[in-house]
Amino acid sequence: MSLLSLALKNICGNWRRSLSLGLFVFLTSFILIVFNSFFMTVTTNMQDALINSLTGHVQIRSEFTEEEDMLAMKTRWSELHFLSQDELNQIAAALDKQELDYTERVRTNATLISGIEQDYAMIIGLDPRNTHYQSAFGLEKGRYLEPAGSGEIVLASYIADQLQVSVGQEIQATGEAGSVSLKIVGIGDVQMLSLFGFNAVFTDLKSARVLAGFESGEATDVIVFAPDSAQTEEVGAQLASELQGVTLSVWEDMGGFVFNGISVYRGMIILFILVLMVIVSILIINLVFMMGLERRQEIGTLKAIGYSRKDIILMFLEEILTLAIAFCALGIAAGSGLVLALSNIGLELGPPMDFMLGKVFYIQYDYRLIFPVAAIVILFTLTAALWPAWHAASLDPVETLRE
Amino acid sequence: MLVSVKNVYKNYTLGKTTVPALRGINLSIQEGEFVSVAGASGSGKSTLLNLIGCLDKPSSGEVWVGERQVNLLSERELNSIRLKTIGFIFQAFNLISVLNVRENVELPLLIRKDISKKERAERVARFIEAVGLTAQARHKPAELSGGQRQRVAVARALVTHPKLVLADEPTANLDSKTGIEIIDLMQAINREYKTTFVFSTHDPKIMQRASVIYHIEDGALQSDMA
Repeated sequence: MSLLSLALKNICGNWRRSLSLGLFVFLTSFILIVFNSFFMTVTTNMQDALINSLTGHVQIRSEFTEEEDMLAMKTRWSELHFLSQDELNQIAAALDKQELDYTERVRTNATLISGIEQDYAMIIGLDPRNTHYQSAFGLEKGRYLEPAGSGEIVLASYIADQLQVSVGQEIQATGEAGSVSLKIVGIGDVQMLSLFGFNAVFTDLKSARVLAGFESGEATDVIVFAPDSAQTEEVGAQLASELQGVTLSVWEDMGGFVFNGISVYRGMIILFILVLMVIVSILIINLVFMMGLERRQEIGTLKAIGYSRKDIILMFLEEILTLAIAFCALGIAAGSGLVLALSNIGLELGPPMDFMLGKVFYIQYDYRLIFPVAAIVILFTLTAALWPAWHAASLDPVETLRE
Repeated sequence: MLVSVKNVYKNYTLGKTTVPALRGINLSIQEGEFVSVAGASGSGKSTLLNLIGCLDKPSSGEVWVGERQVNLLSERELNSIRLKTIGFIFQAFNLISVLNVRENVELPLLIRKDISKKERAERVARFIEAVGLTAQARHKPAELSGGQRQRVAVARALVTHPKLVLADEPTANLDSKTGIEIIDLMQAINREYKTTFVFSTHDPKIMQRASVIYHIEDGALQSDMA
């Protein structure tokens, strides 16, 4: 017999208590996997929406542009410095060399007019062939900008309501330098960011340049899309070493209060985990304490025949560890199974949930959650069991033998 | 001299009252003796055995086991003495219900790092055979009779090769015939392995089997006789 088989026999012999403890561990692991997947999906979706609709992974702009972040409403986009055609050519050469996905942009302010209705808007002119904005902008009606087209506009539903317009109608856009007639081809919202009051308006570069008065092909910035978000720093550093006379920012710096919102979500995850683990720890302390009380005679006998306090604590912890590993594995497997099953089913959401989660919510599974969840659950379980195990091991054998 | 108890007093405090359990006990036990501590219930037999067994410490006086004054030792040293020098047999058998006979007997050896797995298995098999339970080696305590359970306890007490075995009322939960059988078994082991046995009892038939009897009454030793 080994200490492990002793632990297993004790687990089986005290199966009611063992099952109760196992159930706590199972539920904790299950909940942590499911809720973490949910929160991670929300933050990842929000992050992706921000990157694809507004910031890209890396933004290249004039060195004279002192912009705090792209979402700061106090910023007047019409007053931004711009990149000249020569600078844009140099940037394009560097980006093409690295085979990076990018688009030039013209961000400017304009007044949109339809009949007697008008509204102020922040216009983003981009190359319609770059389709990243499409994955962030959920269409309610119409279509996206024609890749080779011009004179088209995609409107946030809030602005469309203000102007009382619909797809197919023409509106007049008047910027500080010029005016242009634009056909509304699509109405929708940037998923999740509409919650933050971001009413996106996308048009093509040519039309935006007319509004901004960029007659020689200038642009306010170039946004670059890294192969994935984890490579943002690497791409940014590579470009910074190749490009001079421009300012580079990564999406975390330009995301403004949306990025703070993502941080709030992350804080909520940590708080949730802490609260859950405190509750579970209290339950485990109580349960192991009861196990110690129920096994007083066994502990007294073991102490009498020479087991030290350390031996008995280790015996308890070995039982708890065995239970924690087994039920944590089951909890993670069940949680992962549920998330994987749900990940194929898009949950269609209405207001107000769609503001936060998007119109259709696909929960994402990330296998990298397994190790931290297992580590947190097992560590908390063992830590919680330590004090009651020490208490049980400190019993006076004379007292227990007398009972 | 294997055990020496010198002018030992043991008092228990119950609230504001101090209750004397042992009053000036002096005794010595030689290696290989088969000793009975006899007395009525509450006379202090168990307290004396607990002191000799390093489970408790006297209020005053000295307890020696071998060359060591055990009442001065740390908890760690006392654990080591209990594990290597002393074997215990209890009135209620105190077997672990989830373990079978073989595993119960093996229990004290699990934490002995100086004994190999092979030797452990050999010892366990030898002592299970010595107490006549080879056929029941895989039985759980609940599947055994009272006498068989106490035999398991005897094997468990002997498996560490202790110099001294302390048995607190080992026959109290058994019928008289089985009680005699257990004492006979202990006596046979005493003769074969030269293991010193000290057992407490209030049964005159049992105490007469001992080579030395200490009578204890109200915490004081009355007389001894060989």
